[in-house]
Amino acid sequence: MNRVILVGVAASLLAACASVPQRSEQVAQARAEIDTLSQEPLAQQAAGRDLAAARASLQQAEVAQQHNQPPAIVDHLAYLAMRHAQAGEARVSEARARQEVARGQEDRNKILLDSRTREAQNAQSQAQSAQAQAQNAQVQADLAKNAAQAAQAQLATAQQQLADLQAKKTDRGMVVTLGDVLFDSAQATLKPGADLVIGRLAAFLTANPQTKIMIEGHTDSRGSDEYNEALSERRAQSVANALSVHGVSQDSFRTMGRGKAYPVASNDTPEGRQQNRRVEIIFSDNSGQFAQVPN
Amino acid sequence: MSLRTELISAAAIACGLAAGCATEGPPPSEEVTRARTVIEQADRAGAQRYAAADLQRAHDQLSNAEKANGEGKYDEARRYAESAEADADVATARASDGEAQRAAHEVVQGNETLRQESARGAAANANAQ
Repeated sequence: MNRVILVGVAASLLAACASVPQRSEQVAQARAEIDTLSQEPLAQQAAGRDLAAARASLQQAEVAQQHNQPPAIVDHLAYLAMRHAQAGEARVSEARARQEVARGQEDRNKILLDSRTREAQNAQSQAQSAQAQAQNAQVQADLAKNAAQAAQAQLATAQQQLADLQAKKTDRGMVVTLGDVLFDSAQATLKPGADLVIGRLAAFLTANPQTKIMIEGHTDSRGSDEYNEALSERRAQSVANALSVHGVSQDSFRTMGRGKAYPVASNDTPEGRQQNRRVEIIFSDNSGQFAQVPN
Repeated sequence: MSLRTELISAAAIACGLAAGCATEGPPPSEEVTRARTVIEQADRAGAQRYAAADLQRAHDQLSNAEKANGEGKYDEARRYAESAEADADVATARASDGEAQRAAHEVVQGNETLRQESARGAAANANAQ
């Protein structure tokens, strides 16, 4: 009986001091913030405490509302709930940013690694390229050296061949003198003994195609000029024919009968006349030019 | 228990349910202290830069709490102090978020620059070869 009275008294006292219950804009706002926060995937992880505090404050606000507490109290509790939720949203946002930083640092490492890998590859390919160039240069140098050695050898061979032909250096260039022992007297036919010299001469001209020769026939002073010129011409031609037989190109030589005009010794003695009966082979330089000698 | 004492206790229960209605609680010194602490925290977190409005609101609410305290309106002071703490906590969280956003932005920007430099370096090397 007394209990019933007590409850009634308490209820009337409550009703007396509480205002008329109404919808609170602040409570609705807090609820909306909490909804937003709770939908964030990171909410529990990054803002679990904020979410819990927001929900607790919202519940207090709702209880106060149900008990018709003054708007100042309901709104205050709802405000706290909203602020907890907002703090939570900021912490979720921060957590997302931290994840982005971590991802960015991974990206950075990857970019640096890629860059360094590429640099290393570039350096390697540059080194390989340099090495290839060096090898190529070496090959070129070897080739040049071989060519130089070959040229040197060819020159040495040519010099040896000229030496074998007993060539003499004169104002007109290198000159080989074929004495008249290679011809029968007053004849233009080469004796068999001339073969060695002709062979060497042919070999030299074949090996040195740039070198030309002038084949000049000379006689002693006996007999008429006409006879001697004809004889000297025929002897020069005999040598030319023999060279042709050995395969020397017609372009390599010219022939000329000089007669008795150019003695190399006195025609007064048999020995001198024998020296004057001769065929001279005059060599050009290796570009085909003969030394210019004033006649 | 006499009817009189029961009536008094009933009134006390009712007023307890309707807090702030009839009686004032004790001065909210703990709440004020906590609010100050959290405001300092917000200051240190850089709230002035990233959450100036929230920080200002926390300061204002703290002033309100102190004023109400001085006038003996303890329940009002308590609510102000609680609001100040909540505001300062929001300011702290938003300041930390601002720092984190800035850091993320810097990392992304830095990577973009790095990518461009790397691409330029690669192009230069490709040209050199």
